[in-house]
Amino acid sequence: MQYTLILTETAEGGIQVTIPALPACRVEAATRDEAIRLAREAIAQLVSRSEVVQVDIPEQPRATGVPHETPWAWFGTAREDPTWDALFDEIEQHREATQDTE
Amino acid sequence: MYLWDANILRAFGQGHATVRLYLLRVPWAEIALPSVVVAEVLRGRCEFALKATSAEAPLAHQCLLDTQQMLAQFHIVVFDVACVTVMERLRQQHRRRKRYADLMIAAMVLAGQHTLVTRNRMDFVDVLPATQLANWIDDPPDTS
Repeated sequence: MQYTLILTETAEGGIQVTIPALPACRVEAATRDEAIRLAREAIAQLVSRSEVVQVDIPEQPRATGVPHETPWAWFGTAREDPTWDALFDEIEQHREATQDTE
Repeated sequence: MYLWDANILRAFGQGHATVRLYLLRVPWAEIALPSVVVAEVLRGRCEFALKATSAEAPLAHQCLLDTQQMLAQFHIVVFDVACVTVMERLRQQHRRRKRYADLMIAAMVLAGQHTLVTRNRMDFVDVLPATQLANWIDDPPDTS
């Protein structure tokens, strides 16, 4: 199995390796070759004591991204909007003009 | 859920003090906009954007975007098939002509056993029980 390694130069001049498929697995070394070697060993160790299990979760993630908490950042944001009141006055006028006809 | 009529969304945008008191007490997860109100608001913003003069157009289109983003913060309750049945019943029960959007909103409240939050209680008092009507603008929350 192939794993993608991301090799990033650290402030100290070393190389840090992160593995997107295994976020908990990180190694650091002085050189690029050493970093790759250590990463290979770390992956092999982790994989040897791991098991892959897939589970079904009936509940789907929220697709809408609606916040859980009150979005206070939006509260009162139309105070400075000169068109806000006109928008709702028009909605009221539309309702008046649309009586149920049945 | 507490379904907001358009006038409560208007007050939310204005930062109304009494609405704020309710928001401090009611979890956001229990508040929603009826899809009828969402449609009314977007129609208004879309008409403004599409009919604006070239001088007004930048403001009108920014308003459309800002409003769409504000609406995205809300849970939305959709007018579904169950609401159609309730709406037909309301039409038969109430001889007095009602405003179409009010009837749709009332049907949504009854079908989903929600509470309508509105400043226009009089528009709904003959179609909704008092226990399913609330006014978050003129009736401050009980702080006792």
